Amino acid sequence: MRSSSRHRGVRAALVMLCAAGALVAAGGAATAGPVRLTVGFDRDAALGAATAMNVDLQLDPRRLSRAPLTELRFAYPRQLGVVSSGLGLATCTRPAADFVKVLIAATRLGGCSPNAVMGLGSALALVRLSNGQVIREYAAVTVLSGALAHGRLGLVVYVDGQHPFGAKLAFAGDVRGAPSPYGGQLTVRMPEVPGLEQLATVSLVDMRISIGSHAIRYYEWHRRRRVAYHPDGVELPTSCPPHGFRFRAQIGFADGSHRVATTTTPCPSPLAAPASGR
Amino acid sequence: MQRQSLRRRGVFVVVAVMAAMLLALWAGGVSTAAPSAHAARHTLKLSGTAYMHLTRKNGNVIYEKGTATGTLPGTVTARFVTSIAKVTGTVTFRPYSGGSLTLSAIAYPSSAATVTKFTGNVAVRKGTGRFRHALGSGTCSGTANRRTWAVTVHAKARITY
Repeated sequence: MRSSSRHRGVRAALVMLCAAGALVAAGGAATAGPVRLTVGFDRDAALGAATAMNVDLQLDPRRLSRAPLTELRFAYPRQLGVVSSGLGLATCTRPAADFVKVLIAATRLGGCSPNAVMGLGSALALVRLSNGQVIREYAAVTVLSGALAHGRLGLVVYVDGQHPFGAKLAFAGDVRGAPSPYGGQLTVRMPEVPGLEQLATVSLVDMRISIGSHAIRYYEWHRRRRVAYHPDGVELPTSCPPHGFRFRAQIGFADGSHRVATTTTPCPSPLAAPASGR
Repeated sequence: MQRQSLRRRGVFVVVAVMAAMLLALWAGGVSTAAPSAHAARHTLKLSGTAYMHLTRKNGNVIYEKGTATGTLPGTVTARFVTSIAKVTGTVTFRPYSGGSLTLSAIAYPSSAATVTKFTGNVAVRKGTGRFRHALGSGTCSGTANRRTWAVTVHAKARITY
């Protein structure tokens, strides 16, 4: 019984790691340091067309606080069309209690519509057990749009532990406006999993999220038939901002410290004849 | 010597009186013209609905066009800048009866659903033809289909032109 609860705690910790990653959406050069941010678009992305935004956040646990990660922020340029994309056409909501206990029992999307999925990705975390053993845990990350309230779009982030543990974590977040040169900021809050502190510490090592991923499928009714389609991703402007697209990630830890990483993604070419494959 | 001085003084007085008369005349002209110019302005209670569809996107900016019904039936074009909490932009009405009227708008969506409702305010920014001196303000509401970006805007405004 006790062993079971310990395992659950470890799983929860792993999930937390993953959840932190979910926040970040995905190639520009990153700032050197313990936190490295890279953001890229589709290989065939073009100015004036929709694309997936691939965010990769890498953390060096040896150079970071041992305190648990508690918050992730990711700011994107105002020229990017996140609201004008075809993403987040449904609202995913969960009871507030789920975000307190973090560890939840739910199916893949927890009963939410697939039309709420905005991003898909993965995370890798190091789980240090109290006996000194270090385990690498892989997790899948899903970012869903939540309700619009107080000028913010809510987010629900699921982190599904894949291997060797299996646990589902739910984190709350939001998308809000951000000061220039950024236009919006995704925030994910990751409270500690109750009861986990004594069992293990979890360190997020890598998180990759693709906002508008090609793997996302939405469904709509067409002549009484439910038809799947791939929603348009983030809309790129027709002209490039000076010096490229600037992104910023900030990671907060339980001890109050935080780290910042910035990156600038070069502009893709202007849209040629027909739009890219999206 | 004294006689010459008197003559100069007399000329000065005449000139001063003439100037005063001209000034009075000019002032009187303005004061009478002003009310007539004011009376020439028209007040219009604008109430209409614009049905628009997407023409193109440019990052966070969407461009629309369509038709308008109501007080000023005609064609309409719009440019909206989208952000998380609000949408700002301009809507230009081109009535079949002539001229054009451009309104700036700020609207707030009420949900993140596929078809979302919004409410907001409009202000008359500029116009052409008979609306070239138009001024006014009002409210707007409507729906936006975020799948197709078909937008319906109901606007009510009081304008003078």
